[in-house]
Amino acid sequence: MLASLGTGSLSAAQAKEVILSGQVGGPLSFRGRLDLSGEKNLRLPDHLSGDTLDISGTQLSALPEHLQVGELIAKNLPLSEVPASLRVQFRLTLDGCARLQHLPQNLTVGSLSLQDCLSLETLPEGLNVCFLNVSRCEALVNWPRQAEVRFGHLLARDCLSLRGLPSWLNQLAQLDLSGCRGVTALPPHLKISGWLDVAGSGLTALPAQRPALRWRGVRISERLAFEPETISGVEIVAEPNTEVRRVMMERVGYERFLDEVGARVLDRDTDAGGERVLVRVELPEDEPFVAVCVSCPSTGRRYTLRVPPTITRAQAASAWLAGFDEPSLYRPAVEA
Amino acid sequence: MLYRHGDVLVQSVSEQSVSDLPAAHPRPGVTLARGEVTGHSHRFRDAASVQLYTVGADTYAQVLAESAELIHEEHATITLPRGLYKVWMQREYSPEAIRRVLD
Repeated sequence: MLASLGTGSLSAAQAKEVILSGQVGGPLSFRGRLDLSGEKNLRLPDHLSGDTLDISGTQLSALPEHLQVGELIAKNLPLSEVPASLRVQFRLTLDGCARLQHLPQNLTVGSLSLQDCLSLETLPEGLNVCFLNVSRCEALVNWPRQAEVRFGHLLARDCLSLRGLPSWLNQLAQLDLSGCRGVTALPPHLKISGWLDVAGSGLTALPAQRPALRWRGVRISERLAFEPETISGVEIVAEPNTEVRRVMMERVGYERFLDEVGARVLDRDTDAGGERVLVRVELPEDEPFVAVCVSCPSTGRRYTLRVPPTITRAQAASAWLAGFDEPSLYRPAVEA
Repeated sequence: MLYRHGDVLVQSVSEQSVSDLPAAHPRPGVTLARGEVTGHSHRFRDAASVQLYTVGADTYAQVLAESAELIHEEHATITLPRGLYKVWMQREYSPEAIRRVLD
């Protein structure tokens, strides 16, 4: 039986049954939330419409034509593009679509999330959204000549290839540029009504409009963001807020922090880069700061990396950093 | 066999081919990781010698030639023999008790 249901709409449960039977042809309309996430060998009819559709993790490599929904959740799919006939009213989530390279021109939706779309180099001309999340789109380098993010949020955490923001960006509530090392200035006319997250970005001074600042989610001062050289190790230990204290340590640098407060050496040995030292600093009303100081075998540059406070051996610290909870399993054959 | 290339870890896996991995999808390019600070990248020198794959959140590299060179502007080159490798980044620790502002 070919279920071709041109008029009337099915409940989400009925629609799921019909679609999973594999015998459905469009058009098909459903009400409520149709959750098909994780379904293997899924086939969707053209002209599917409804409220909320979740097809995350289904291995679909293409979306059907004329899909029209209020919300589409399509995470972790092997899509390389999205059809121009797609219509999503409120929220389009394409997080983790690592092969996605093209979105249709003039894509208009309330909220667009493209987190972890690692192959996406450019956004479409005429894009029109209120909320845009392009966090960890590491290849994203080009902005459209004309597009809009209307008064909402632009979350661009760890977009390592970005070298700036577009001049059409006029007003935002929230802007997260943390990890965007290549972004060194904001568009001159941009107004931010909420906050600006500057952690690890290329910004070196507060823009003239002076929005509230955050450092990967933690509210911080202008001094902490842009004048860390004025902060002392003593001041860090005295800081009562553990979140702010952690940011202070990061801004000052673990090396200077350790120099100024005096760290206890827990262990030292030798690895491919030379001497490796595990150190510990007690912090008031917080877990201790434990870090391993190592040298890169290629450059000789010293690094200090924080590890869990339960670690007592330098080798175990390196193993943990490499992803091994069991230190004896970490035996790199080649290090460079 | 485990290789460390800066903050990138590469480990040969017992599967000989990517076809042994269910739900593997080809990933374009030959770049394993880009540096946040420098813009330098851990990548393979010859695009024809390797194919990257994603399997869920994991990354794999299949060396298709006799060997492939893993290069970076600052790190010594590592030569990987033909085979399949799992690739991941070094992790960082921050106290779990840290609350993040999520709004």
